[in-house]
Amino acid sequence: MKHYDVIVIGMGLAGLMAAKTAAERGKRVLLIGKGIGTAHTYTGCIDLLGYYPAQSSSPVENPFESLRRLIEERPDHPYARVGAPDIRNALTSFLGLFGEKGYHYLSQGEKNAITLTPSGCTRATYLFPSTMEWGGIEDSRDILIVGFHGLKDFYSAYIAHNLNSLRKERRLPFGARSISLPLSELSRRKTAPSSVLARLFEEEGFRNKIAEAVRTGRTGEERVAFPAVLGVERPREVRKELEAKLGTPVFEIPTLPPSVPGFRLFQTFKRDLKKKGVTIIMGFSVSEALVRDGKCLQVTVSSPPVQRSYSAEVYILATGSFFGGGLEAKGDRVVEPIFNLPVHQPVSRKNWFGDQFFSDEPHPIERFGIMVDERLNPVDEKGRVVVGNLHGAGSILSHSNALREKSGGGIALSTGYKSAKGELH
Amino acid sequence: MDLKTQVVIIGGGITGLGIARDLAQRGIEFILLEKGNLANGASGRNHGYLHSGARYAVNDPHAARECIRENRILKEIAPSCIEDTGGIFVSLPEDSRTYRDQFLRSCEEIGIPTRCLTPSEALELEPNLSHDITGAIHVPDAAIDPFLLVFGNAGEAGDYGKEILTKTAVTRLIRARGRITRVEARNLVTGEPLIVRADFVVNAAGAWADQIARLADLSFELELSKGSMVITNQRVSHRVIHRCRLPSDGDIVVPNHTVSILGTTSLKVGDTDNLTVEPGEVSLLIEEASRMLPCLTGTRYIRAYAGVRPLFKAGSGQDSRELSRGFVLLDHGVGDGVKNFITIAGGKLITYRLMAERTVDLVCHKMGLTIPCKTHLTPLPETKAGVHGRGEYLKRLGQEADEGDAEIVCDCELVTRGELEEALRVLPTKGLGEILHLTRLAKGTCQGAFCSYRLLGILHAMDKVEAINSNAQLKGFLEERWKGIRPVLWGDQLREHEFIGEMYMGILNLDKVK
Repeated sequence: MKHYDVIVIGMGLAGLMAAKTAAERGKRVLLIGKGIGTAHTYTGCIDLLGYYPAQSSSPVENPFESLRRLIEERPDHPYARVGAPDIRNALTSFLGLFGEKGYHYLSQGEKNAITLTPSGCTRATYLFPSTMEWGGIEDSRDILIVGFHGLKDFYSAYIAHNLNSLRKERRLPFGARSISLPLSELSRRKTAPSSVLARLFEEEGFRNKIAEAVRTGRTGEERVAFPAVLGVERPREVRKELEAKLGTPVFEIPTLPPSVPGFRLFQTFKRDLKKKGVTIIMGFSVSEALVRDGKCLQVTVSSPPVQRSYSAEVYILATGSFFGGGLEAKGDRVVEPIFNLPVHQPVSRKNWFGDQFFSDEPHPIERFGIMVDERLNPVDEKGRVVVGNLHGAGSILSHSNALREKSGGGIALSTGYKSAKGELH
Repeated sequence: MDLKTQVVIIGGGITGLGIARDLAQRGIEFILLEKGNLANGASGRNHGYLHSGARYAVNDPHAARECIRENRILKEIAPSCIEDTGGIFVSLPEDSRTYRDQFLRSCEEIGIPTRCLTPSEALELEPNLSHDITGAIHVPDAAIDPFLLVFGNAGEAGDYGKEILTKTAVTRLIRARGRITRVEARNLVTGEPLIVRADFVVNAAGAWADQIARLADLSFELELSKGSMVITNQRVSHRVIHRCRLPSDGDIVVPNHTVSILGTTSLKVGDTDNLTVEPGEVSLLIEEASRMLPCLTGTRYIRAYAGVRPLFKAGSGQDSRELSRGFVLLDHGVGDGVKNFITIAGGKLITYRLMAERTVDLVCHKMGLTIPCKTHLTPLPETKAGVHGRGEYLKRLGQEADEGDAEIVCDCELVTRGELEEALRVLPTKGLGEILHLTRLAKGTCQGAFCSYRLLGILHAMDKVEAINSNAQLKGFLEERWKGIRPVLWGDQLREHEFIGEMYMGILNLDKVK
């Protein structure tokens, strides 16, 4: 059986961050994930705390100030478990993944940035990719939104319509107009998902045709927005080239999944982890863990007919919530399938949800998850540590309102960071 | 707005539209008023089951006779709405042998063709059946798409916005000199009032029929019985599967396009407008139906819904003419003294045409006309968007891929952009509810995860959006979907749900949009 210092289970943002943090401290790390994580299901921006309290619909201006309030008011919240200094440390460490010259992440100082959504709404986030730099809503330059007939998860007319409504309603200083380019006239494909379109954007010939079509369709708009498909490997170059050809700033608006910026994020992490010597097992899930006397001795990865076990000093569980598979909802109760850890939940299935999908209050189920102490050790209802050398990170943790607070990215990075930073073990 | 016509029909369910089609065929003018979308009530919330009559053979032979007769007619006139699956009644060891014998005898007397199968013959036809079955009887049941039936009748009867007015609620019925002289209504979207003057008023409001009668100061009692149903992620049988025993909870599974529908429960309710399915009902249905089809314990469920059977309570002091145990036709000119007002109540999906025929016969009689009914002779126009049978559909999909717009908008149910655009051109699109029934968009495994957004996007691309804030429309659409998803959220469907939440609240931020 192979032995490591740290085994991280889960390849989402929390698991990746944990693996990076442990590796940087000289640990021998094994990262196991059943897929490519869930980064490609988000916008690619890193939300820290967009809205607080969770029910509020006005964005938080300074997330660090609101975080201080949250940590005081909600001691069970994952952010309160991490504490303000390590939240900052985690963000700094994350930013260090990107060189300043290439594709990288930006913020508006200590403040939240207001970004555009694929439905023409606005949304508060903290860190955003450099390709979204010119999408600011205080900017008074009109926007031409470019869509593609054949890209199903982005509709430029939809976005322009609602932005123009917002312009009247909230006095946004810019107007928006849309064009939709037929993919069949630009390539040999009639349709393409965002991931494929992003590869096409890396071809110079394709870019030339796009630039030509956009020049023809433009009527004086001083900013041009594309769906977030401006290349996978070289987004910076793709954007610069388009800007040069069009003579205007170009920026990306997120699409529905798969999110290309999310995929870029995953790739960047993966390259970094490989460089740091992390062993990665992708495509296999941990089927069980051996725990004795409150200590995990090994985990087993099953790929029938072969079963392989690995051991470590420390284990980090970052398997996500329901979507990721970290939590499973049986008929009437929620379980954590690998360690069978106690899960914070109400008694009956009747109380999992509120009456309306878009309820003001978060649905109770959004707060379900494993309970942890300030060392991120899983605990039971009475606060007793269940497995001493196990730490939880990311959306598997209970008591967050990530979906409504827009805090998922920050929670993943900061709990991933703290779970692996060393002095806990 | 002031309108004049010969007949006002109140209610845009299958009964109202059946009447509309019959009137149109006999050359009588009408205006139909519906407060919601078409098929809003029981017409859109049933099993999609085309009775052979066998289910009623033992304890209601009269209803059974009506069923088999209409079954044969509908298979002739509405083939594009029907999948002629056949049905199997299965017996389990604890089921009474006496009932089975009685069942066979009754079917024979009524004229419902039956064929007895050995357990192994039945298992060969339906491999998912329980190996415990002791016998099976094949009957000419079928699956019917009630939405396509409604749209088919509507399509032949008249035009949306002209004869067929949806989102238009009747607010007052003005009575004078023993007649209803004026029907007052309001457009619920624009708030605009509407007055219709007509020779006759037909109340076909289903579960709301008593409320409509009350507007004319008349009263009768309806008993509302709620039936809940659960939808599987994939089809578990080719045929309709029943338990061969007296009808009770969870004894029928009806195939419906790509899914199967488990039913039903029966609970008295007081209110028609807020029907929720309780977790307990879902568990009961699954437990009972899995006695016949054991795979139902482990399968994925995508939705649950409830409908109301509006049963007419006889003996409320009306001089009514009871036509059958299934439905009643009330001539309010007799006894109530409102000469030009008729109520048609009760009944079943399968007898809608017969109900329409009798209603229009009465209208004609009162008008002194003798025009015979022809609705049983002429086929319904085919709703192109709803071709039954996936084979046909896939063939068309292939053609579209060669010719043009085969971009698939709903990945679960393979709805193309071309198909959606066609439906959007036909239908009034201020409400999105009808789109999914006509195309099956958002009716599959993911229940609208990607395609709800795409639907809005395509509406915008076609410049068909009138709302200032179209995201409110999208939220409304998802909220409707949610009602049915909520009762079945566990396992994989819950994972899917979390993903939907991530998209619409996480990425689109719609929880923060008014």
